[in-house]
Amino acid sequence: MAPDDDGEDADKPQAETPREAQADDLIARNLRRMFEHAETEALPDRLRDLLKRLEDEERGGS
Amino acid sequence: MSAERGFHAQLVDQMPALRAFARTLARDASQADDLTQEAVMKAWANRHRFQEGTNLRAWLFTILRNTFYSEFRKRRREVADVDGEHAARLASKPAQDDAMALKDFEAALATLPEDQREALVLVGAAGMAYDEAAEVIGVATGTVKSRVSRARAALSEKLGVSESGDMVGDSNVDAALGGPPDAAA
Repeated sequence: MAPDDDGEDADKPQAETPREAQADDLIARNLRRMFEHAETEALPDRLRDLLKRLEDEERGGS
Repeated sequence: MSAERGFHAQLVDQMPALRAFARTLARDASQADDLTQEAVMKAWANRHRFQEGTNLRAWLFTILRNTFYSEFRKRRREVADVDGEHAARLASKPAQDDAMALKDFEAALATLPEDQREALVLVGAAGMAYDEAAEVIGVATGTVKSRVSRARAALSEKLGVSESGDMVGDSNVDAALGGPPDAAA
């Protein structure tokens, strides 16, 4: 199975030219920004309520 | 490792990334939250099937992705054209500041084929290794590599990265997205 045995950096895209490297950098930066933007947004009430309900269930149940 | 923290705590840790991934699939905040909610409920109902010590993030992403393709994709397709038009409009504006550059980027990303986009997002945004992304998508690692490679090439072109590596003017973005209005006529 080996879920996490890879050398992560070795298994990442490798740019072959300066142009590719620049493009990769631009793409990677924007992808991360997109993700970070979504990650830092506060959860809406319905998701917070859901998590609260699940937490209560875990405490009271399983 | 984190078994003693409980499934709920681990789930909460993954919520931001899960929601961010949902955003890239649904491309609409409200639908992304619907998708996240549905995926979380499914994960919770099946938490006994998750093997402690394995990759929870990949497991959750897989559930969310499967939920999207089985239940949400149709709904997205209904607004796909609208999204596309909006994306093209955003992309035709000059990328003068970070916010606009990000909008341009999102617009260009939205024009990629779904399979390429999700591979690129998992590897480039979620920071997954190829084999981890392959696990989520349910394809061979080599398939993910080629999808990411094609996505990168297409995006580079759409974003107009010049030979010198600089971003070029929006005319190139226009061209990549179908050409400026007067050129087509």
